[in-house]
Amino acid sequence: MSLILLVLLPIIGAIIIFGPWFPQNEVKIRRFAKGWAGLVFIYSLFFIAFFNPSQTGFQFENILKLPGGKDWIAPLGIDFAFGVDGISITLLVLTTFLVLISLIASKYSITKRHKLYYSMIFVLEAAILGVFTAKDLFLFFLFWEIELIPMYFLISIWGTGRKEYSAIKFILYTFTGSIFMLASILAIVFYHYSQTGILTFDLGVYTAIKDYSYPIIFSILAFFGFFAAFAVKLPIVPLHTWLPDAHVDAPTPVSMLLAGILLKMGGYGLIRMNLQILPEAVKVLAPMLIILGVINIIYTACIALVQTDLKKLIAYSSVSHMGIVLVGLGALNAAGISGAVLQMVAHGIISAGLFMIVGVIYLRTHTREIPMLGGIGQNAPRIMYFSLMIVLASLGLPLLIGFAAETLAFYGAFTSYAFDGFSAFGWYLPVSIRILTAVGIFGIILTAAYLLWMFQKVFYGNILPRWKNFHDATPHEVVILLSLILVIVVFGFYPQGLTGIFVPTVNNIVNLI
Amino acid sequence: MEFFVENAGLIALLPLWVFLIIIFGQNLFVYENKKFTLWLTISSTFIGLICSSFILAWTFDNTTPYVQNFNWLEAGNIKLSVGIIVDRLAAMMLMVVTSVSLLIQIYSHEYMNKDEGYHRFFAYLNLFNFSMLGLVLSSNLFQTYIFWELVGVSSYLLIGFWFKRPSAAAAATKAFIMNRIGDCGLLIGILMFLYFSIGWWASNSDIFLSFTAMPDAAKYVFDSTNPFLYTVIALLIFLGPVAKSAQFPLHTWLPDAMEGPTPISALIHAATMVAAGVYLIARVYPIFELSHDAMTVIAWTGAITALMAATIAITQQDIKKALAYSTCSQLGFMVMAMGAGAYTAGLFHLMTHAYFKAMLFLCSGAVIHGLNDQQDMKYMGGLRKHMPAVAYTYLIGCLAISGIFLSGFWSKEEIFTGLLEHNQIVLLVIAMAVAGMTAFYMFRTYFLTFEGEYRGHEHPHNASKTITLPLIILAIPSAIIGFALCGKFGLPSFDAFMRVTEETVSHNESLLIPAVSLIVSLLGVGLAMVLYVEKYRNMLKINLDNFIQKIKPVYDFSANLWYINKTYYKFIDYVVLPVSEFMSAFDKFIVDGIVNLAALWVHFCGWILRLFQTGNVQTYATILFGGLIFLTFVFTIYWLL
Amino acid sequence: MNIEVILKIFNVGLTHYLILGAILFCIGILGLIISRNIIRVLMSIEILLCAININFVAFANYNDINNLQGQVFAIFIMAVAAAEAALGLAILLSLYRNKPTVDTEEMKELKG
Repeated sequence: MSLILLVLLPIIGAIIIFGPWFPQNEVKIRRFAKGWAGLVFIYSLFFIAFFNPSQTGFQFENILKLPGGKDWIAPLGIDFAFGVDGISITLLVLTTFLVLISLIASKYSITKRHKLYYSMIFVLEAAILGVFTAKDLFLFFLFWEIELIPMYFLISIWGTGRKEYSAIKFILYTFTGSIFMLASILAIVFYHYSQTGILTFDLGVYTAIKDYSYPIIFSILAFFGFFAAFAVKLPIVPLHTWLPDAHVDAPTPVSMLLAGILLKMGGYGLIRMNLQILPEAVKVLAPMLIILGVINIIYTACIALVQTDLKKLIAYSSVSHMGIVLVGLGALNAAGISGAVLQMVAHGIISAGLFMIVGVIYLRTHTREIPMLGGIGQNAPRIMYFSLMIVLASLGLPLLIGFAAETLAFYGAFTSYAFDGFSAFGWYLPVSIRILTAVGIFGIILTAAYLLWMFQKVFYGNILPRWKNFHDATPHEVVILLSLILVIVVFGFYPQGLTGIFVPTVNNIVNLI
Repeated sequence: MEFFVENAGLIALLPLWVFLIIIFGQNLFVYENKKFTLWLTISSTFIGLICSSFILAWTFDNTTPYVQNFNWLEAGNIKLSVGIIVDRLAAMMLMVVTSVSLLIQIYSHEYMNKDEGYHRFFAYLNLFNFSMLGLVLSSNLFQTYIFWELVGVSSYLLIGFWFKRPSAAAAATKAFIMNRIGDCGLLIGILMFLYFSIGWWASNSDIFLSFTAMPDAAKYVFDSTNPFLYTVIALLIFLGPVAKSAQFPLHTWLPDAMEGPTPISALIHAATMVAAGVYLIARVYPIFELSHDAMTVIAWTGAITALMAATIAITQQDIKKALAYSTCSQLGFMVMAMGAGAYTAGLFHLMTHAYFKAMLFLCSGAVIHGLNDQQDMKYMGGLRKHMPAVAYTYLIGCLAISGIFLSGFWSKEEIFTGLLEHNQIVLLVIAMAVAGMTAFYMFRTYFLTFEGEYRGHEHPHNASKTITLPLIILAIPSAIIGFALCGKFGLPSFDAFMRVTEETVSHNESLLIPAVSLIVSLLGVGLAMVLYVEKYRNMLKINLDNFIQKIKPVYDFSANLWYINKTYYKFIDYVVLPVSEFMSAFDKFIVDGIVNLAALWVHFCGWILRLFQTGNVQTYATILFGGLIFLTFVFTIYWLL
Repeated sequence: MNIEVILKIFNVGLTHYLILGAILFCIGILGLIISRNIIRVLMSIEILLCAININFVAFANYNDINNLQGQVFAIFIMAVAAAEAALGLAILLSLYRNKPTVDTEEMKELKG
């Protein structure tokens, strides 16, 4: 049950595929990759099976020491340490699941340089798994940076449109953010050193109750350092403009991974670093989080309303849904943060589904312009019904996975007591934050508007003559869409299955704030 | 009998399973047998009906509601449960929904027999059944919201059933989005209510927002907030029913919803789903009761809706649209009654309206079906000779809705009495006027469709047994259920049945109200006869077209639906979309522009630095020696000082 | 008339030699920078080295006549100058073979 093995498995897979001993046969590469991804997925399920939700703190801790019992980089106090808690393990399983799904979806979209592609996906998977399981601040940063490189290759080689521009933009933008994160990490570490004389990067030390507390200015500055990196990743308006380009120009399976998991890294980082390590700053800055969250929801929903490119519309809808995560996080109570984590999982599955549908349509029509598409439902009813389920889940329809998340997040923000201690603003702040949350709920109307408008334009109506040969879903695509819908419906009916895993962890986090 | 009550959830779950069976049956192992789908659906609804009747019988003896819950979502200080509540209100709604549903399903077999989407239709019908029955049985406000949205989705799917028609697709989207606006208000209202009462729920009740504890919770919230805020909460919660029950201003989706098949219009948009709004008002009545301003707004919203819809229905040419506006108007009646305080009167009218409106829609469906999908009344006429059963049942329905002796009369009388009791004289006058208009336009449709000479081109044929049988069965409650439950002459009283906790108020036994309403309705019928039956028209030498020309502005205002639809579209085209376009441009050029500006800045700095790289050795030498001399200078100065 | 008499008449001291060295250095730099002909540049480099030699020898002579460090170093410089001249001419020949010109303005491959 070694977490290091979980992170290393994809890298081993990548090496096996990329090595010269592996045949160039596309089918063999694909089948091996799918099998290996399935193996990683099943292995991660073992972790969930043996996970104990009520135990707080990190579980399955796994530290690798150099021969002779020394730490990895002893003079700096850096360990090669891994550990998961409730939130990370949910995101972990989401990652392995989505990688498996996107590999199955790669069959039609990827037509060249297969070896490089599959090995890059595995390196990406390893990096993301590393981010979610790292128990050491330096290791976290390391994996955070590593995931950029496979992303660059994946977007710029197999993408469409302005792929090189989008890939470079994505990397440089994320990188600029992470510089500030590095500064904050070092600041925290050295402050800890000055207070206790111990130089350590261990996350467990920083997230637990500390003997000292940060001076408020220092805490706020460190907060913004971390926030810069996670704001680019989440993404938070106005640092979001890499997302439409990267999502639109990436190939379908990569878009699914990008929207499904990479955005969650930002949310996860916010919880781990900003909420757990810097509680003083987050108590002061929580209103800002909610304001930014509401801006995310409304602003990007309005933009999605007037998009003509199908994939861009879904990209903006991704940003909009991540706004709900932000609103939940700003609430600083168990309901809000649980809603945020649940929304991360829900949105991962839903946006993977949405991008899959775009990919299915693009494969057959080679266009993403909504005015050009029309009446597809007539020839391809199965695709239409699957899309309908996923679109309805994205809307936040009850008994599908998005609803519980939205409700919890908004309820948390509404009933938050985090702003009642602000003597500076009197009663204005709590009231205005609640009014703002109400404005955020108004976003569900906009979401319904643009999603249903898109659905109507694309699927309903008479089929245009040029799409006479639009054939229905292949069994391949049916499997992918059906498995996603299955997850959506099962956890929609029974969200306790998911929340049971991370709610105790969240309760613990809230108690420590 | 307790068995049925304890397992009442089955009534709602059976349709869900049938839905899943049909969906999987069609997609995994495609079966062609329509009868199988039909019998599955009908049997599940029939079982529901039997169970509902047993439950109704149970509620005669037991006045305390039966509640059963289990945890659905738990995080932090919030605990949301799902469960069922069985009390008299739920039992009544169950009976109405299952009976109307059953008859419409029988009717749909014939109506949709030739349609290629037969199985899909029945699958959606089952989904709707599940949603509606779940809504009726919900034990707390949050669960009601869940099923509220589900009912909205079923409606969306069914309105857009013939999705190849662009108008149907647009109508479905419009319906869903307007309902979403209401849902948004409802959600905000629920959250606000929860926020103010969270302490109370945590200590007093295990189930948040449960209806049994609602009166006490409402009192607590009322005491702990200022009246304005409480009114805001109540009105936000009311926004949900405004959208769902097609009240002004969120009513424009209902006429467009007529794009769906007629059985759907009958089931959803006449009898059940639109009644869900009224049902919700009944359930959260304790919240509304405490705020006088909210009740006034509710009553006036209902009144305005009733008035507006009635005036529009007068000029409609499409029979389904006329019936849709009449539904809207009757819903306004119900909401007005509940807003004025006549809680049971509104519910009584809900029940009677469900039966006769469903029947009216089914009759119009028979007519449309018989005329090969012709809906315009200009091309109908004299169909009584061709479809006698349909004509006579339609007549019964018209009499019922106009309030002439059949069931509508009794329920309307209760509403009028209730309005009078609560001293709402202005509303009473409006209600009377609307009742008169109702009689007028309903009989207008009757005369245009069934009397006179046939003006169309088709060959009308009579409807088959499967279509006329439900009509005849529905005619029975339409005719007598009002009388049977009026509470007078020793008959059981609906009013007393519903008022479990309050003391029965003795009604004003005067004959003034019934007499006036009867006269007004008969006047309306008379006017319709005079204008639309050619015999009488020629007798009085009335030229209809001249008359319409004289009142053209008023006529247009009505025929164009008070221009509300156009206003909404203008709003979207001139406000919403330009704002979004602006934001999109802002995002693309300014926000992204700053990012590209950063890249441009780096580019620019590189360009400047490149100016120093001339490739000429001598330039480099110049710089080298220049720097050397400069340094020498500096050090000399330093050494000298 | 011998050298010592002439030197005594004109009161020639260290400064004069340094000034001479400086003037030659400037001429060399100027020639290096301004010349358009590579051979002229190479010659200017030689002038530079000569100027430096003069400086070294002057210091050696006027500070301690028994200390020969300056003069020895001047001989080092001459050796290096010779080697560098050879190298410079070799590069010049290579350049001339690629582009038949000795104009410095033409040698801008590394521009930008």
